[in-house]
Amino acid sequence: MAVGKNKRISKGKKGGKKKTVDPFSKKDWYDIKAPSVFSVRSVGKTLVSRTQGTKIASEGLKHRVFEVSLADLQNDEDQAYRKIRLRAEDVQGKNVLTNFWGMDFTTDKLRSLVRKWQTLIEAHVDVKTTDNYTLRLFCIAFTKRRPNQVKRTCYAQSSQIRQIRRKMTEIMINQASSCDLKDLVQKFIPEVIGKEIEKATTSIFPLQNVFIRKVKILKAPKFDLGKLMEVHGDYKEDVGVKLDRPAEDAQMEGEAEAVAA
Amino acid sequence: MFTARKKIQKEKDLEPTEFEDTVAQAFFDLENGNQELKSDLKDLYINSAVQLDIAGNHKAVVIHIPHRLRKAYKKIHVRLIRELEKKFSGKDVVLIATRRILRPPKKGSAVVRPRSRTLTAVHDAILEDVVYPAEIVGKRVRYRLDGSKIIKIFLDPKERNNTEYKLTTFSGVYRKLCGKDVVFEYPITENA
Repeated sequence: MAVGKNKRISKGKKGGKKKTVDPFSKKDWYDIKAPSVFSVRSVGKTLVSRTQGTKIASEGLKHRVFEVSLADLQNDEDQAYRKIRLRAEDVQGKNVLTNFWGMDFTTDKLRSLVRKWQTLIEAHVDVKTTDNYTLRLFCIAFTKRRPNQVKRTCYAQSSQIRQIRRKMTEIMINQASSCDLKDLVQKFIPEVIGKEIEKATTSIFPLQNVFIRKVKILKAPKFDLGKLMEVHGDYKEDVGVKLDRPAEDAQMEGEAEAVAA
Repeated sequence: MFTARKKIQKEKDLEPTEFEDTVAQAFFDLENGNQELKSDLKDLYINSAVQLDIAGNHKAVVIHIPHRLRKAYKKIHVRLIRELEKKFSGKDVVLIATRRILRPPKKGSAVVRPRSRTLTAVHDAILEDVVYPAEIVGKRVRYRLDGSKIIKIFLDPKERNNTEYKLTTFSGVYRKLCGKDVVFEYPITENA
């Protein structure tokens, strides 16, 4: 059967496509913009193929997730161990507007916190913010040695651990359900929730290294452009400043025309 | 080698510069003057010495020593540095072993390039030499958004007291020698 035979052993394309098309020549660069809660707004660039037929460039660009270190977003090297995930939500001109999509710790920081002779306490909770984002927050804490402690270990009793976990979830729920996503992100950056937990649990057992180590977004509300623009503010298209044409140029143009003619 | 004033120095076909002469002279004085270092310094010589300017009006003296004598130098490192810093007051002294870097062999050349002659291996070894007696406990490379790299080095807090004031000097020296930005930190929890 002649139909459908040219699967693998093609006759060696002599005189076929000699010029391989460079795929990158058909792509465009876009700037990634971070929400206004962060101090450094311009995060990088991405590529996407140009709009071709039914395949629209902005659709291909829309749900991309970028993971950026907080040190790059805030220009602060002390927070280099936190990573923020930003999801592209809208495309405006050459700018891709993103919104918060999650937070994570770098693995080396997490591994460096875990040590022997202390208790690790973890808690996680699902919370809904006021603007209908459902998040899962993970908290981690370690027991602390007292400054005059002689005993080698500083373990907490199981009942204390359970009490601490309850306090953690209580505080996380309170903090998250009372504000919307934008305010919550502003709380994550300076680690406010961690400090709250640390203060509240001193009566149970002194803790150290209390962090919200991971934030996942489980459910996001339907895409709302107004909300996104609130977080972003307007971006003026960088068209450049209009310069006055100097007088000599007019003369040179006249000469060029004469030569051409 | 051990001629009148050109003792403790050796270079291949090159005349030692003035600065190197002063460094060699300091070595010679130490050997003859200082009783405790006398026996140790007897067979030791240096390859060359360079003076670097570090940001913050500081100067550093980088002394290159032959690779073979590294172990002997390490034994007396702390005392030697103390004496040399007294001689060159205000300047930090760093000892580095001379290591050869070979370029990656071209296609078709049969020469094997040992790993120890590789650029990365030599740079790592230079870093270790620079921060002696503090030990390197960990390394992290941070890639910034624009693609630039910072290398973060974690040092053992045991030798914190006698190396902490020199950290900027170490960064400057490493930057001059290898062209990479280095930041030093002491990890908060020391015990492994």
